[in-house]
Amino acid sequence: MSVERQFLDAINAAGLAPVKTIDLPEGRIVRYRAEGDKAGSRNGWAVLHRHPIPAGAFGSWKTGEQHTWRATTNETSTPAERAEQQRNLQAAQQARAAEEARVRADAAARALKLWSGAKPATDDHPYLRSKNVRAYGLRALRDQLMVPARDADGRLHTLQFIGPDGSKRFLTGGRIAGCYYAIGRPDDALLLAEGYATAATLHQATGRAVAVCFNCGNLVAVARALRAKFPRMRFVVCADNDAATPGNPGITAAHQAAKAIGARVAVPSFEGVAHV
Amino acid sequence: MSKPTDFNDLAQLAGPDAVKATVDKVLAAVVAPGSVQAPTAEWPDPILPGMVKAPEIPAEILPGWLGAMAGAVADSTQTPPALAVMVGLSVLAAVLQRRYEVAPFGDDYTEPLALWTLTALPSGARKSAVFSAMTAPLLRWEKLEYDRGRAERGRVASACKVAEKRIERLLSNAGKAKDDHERERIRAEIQHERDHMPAELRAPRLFTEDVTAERLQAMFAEYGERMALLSDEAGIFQIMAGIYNGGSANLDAFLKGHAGTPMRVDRAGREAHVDKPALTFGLAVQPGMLSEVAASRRFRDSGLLARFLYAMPTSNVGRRDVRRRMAIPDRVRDDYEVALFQLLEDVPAVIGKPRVLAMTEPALDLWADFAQEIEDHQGEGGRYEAISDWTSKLPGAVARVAALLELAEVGRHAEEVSEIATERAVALGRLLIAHAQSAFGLLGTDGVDTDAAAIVKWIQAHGLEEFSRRDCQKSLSGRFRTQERMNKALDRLQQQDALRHYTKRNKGAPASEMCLVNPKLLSLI
Repeated sequence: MSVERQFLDAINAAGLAPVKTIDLPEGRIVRYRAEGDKAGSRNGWAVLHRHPIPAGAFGSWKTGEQHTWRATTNETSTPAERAEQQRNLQAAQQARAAEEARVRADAAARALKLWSGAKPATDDHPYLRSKNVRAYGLRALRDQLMVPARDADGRLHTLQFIGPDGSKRFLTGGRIAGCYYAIGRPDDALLLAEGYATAATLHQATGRAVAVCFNCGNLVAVARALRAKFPRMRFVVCADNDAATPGNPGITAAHQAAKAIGARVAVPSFEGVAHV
Repeated sequence: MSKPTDFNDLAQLAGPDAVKATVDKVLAAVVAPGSVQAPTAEWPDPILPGMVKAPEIPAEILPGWLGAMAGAVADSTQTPPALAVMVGLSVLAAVLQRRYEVAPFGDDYTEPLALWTLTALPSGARKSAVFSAMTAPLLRWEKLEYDRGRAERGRVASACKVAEKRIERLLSNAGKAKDDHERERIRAEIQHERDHMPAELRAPRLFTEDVTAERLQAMFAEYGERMALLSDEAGIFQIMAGIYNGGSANLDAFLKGHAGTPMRVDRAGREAHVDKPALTFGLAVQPGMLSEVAASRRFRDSGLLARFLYAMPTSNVGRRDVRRRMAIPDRVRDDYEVALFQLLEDVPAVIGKPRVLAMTEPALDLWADFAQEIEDHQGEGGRYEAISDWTSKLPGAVARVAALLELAEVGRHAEEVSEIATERAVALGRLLIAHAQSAFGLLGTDGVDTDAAAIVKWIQAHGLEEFSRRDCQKSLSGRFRTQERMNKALDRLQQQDALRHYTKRNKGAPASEMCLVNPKLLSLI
């Protein structure tokens, strides 16, 4: 079996199989659309070295995962070969980091351009109407609502687009980890929520400032960033109660975030509430 | 609607009040860290150079006869017990050093029992009276030994003089010898005289009050590789600062005496080969003298200042009852002298290998826990970062004290350092940390601490409960040319629980970096 085939098998086994066939030039990082990712995205990445010992690395910028691979061989590598392999992998890591930084910077520039050119959204957007919430500082591009994702220093990194039917997607390549959208000004307490509609509801109901964390996987990162920014603030993580999903990811992530910053978790209770 | 999951669903099903009620209930249970409304009690005591209120060191921290004597002396002289405790420990070390060592793990890591103590008290605080009472048995023992050996020393000195004269005569005869045979006979006689000349006998000495580095090296060689320097004056620091050496004294003799590392001196006119020197300090000086000592960067950089255990008690001057006269009870004084004499009973003329005391398992646990606790707090950003040179040596010093206390309680035949002695030593070690922090305030700490002290002075002068970094830099612009330098000082103050940082949002304006002041800091003025 060829080196390329073995490497691609490893990528497939990790669940990051490329949608189309990819070329793997010696020592150069390639980006590709992984299976399950949306069309036009290039979140998958891989780099392969064929000499002295076939080895490579691959991963996904979407999930943040990274794997290394080395061809199975009966020959024992010499110290020089191992050193060269080490150098290759380090160079690949540096290239990957540089490439990631470039992609992130491109996405941030694109987000800023789109955000600057968009008009303020109105409360009669179908999604907002269906959720019965207002457009707190959102903008709209055609029929899409735009929610900006900023870091704790206020730098815009990416945008979340929400369609009239509630479908959500992010600008390709943008950084999400630790980025949030703030509704309201915090006084002595700050609430954390996953999605915009939940956050807007919480703000309308309580008058408190709320940070939109976009998804449960980002709760811990945002909580940490905000705790560093507001060391004296009281925090409440307002969880989504994903009771129907195995492991209840909403509540699990909320508890992790609360534990990380010494906050409490608020869970919506639907007991005794008539379902429509 | 699909199965409801989030607060938006709850609002749609039960209304916004249900959302508010759920969140408010949880919010009420959340305690804000470092909240503005936090009562003063939630702030720990700030640790600031020169502002640490050192706790009292009670005489009861020492066992039996030693504690009784320290307490009686402190009571009689109306001085803080810390002085008598520290001098008592130095006297004990002077008696036991070089003859014993402690090996906490029972392996090749050993600590000698030399101990350096320094107590700072102002002039007129009756330091000399305490010194006299605590060192009296040592003086008496030296005098007794001197008298006891007087006849023998006289006999040996005469024998030496006779031998020297005979050698002189033989040498003059050698020049007049008629042949080789006669010269060879004279040479053999000279050699015989030299071989049989008795070694010079010296009365044993335990301590001195004033010594130069060069003389100290010789004293190590002459008096069994050990010496103590017990003094209520700060003259030794002037000697160490080089008053007799044009400003650059040799500190090695002192430093090696603390560590017990071999000393080899080969200079024209003098030689000193000492395998395990042991030097104990027991000093009491005026606080002002400590500041003068700080002027020498060499003292701090060489680790000399880090070797001292400091006591910075509050002086009783102005609060003493002049009519109250409490003599030291004879029984206490006698017990003290007898116990010290018993510890000195087997002092040999020539000191051999020191006897090593290991720690019992519970004692080791206790000591190791303490050492780990210190280690965990002396790294970058830790509470003891500013005095990490001192805290690094503290566990070793505590092991030394534990062994000294064990020997004091059990006697010369103690086999192991017990848990009880270690417990006392660890308790003393904990008390001494605050004293060291206070002392290093006087000794001049690093540049960051000096900057931090300037900020504290500014806070106290203006009675600030909180302030912005920007205001601080603006007000102290003469000192802080760069923000980085100010931030370092503010970070140090935060580490020392004097401040807490937070970001204040401003409507329509950039956020401000604020510092909340520990209310206890303002009450320290």
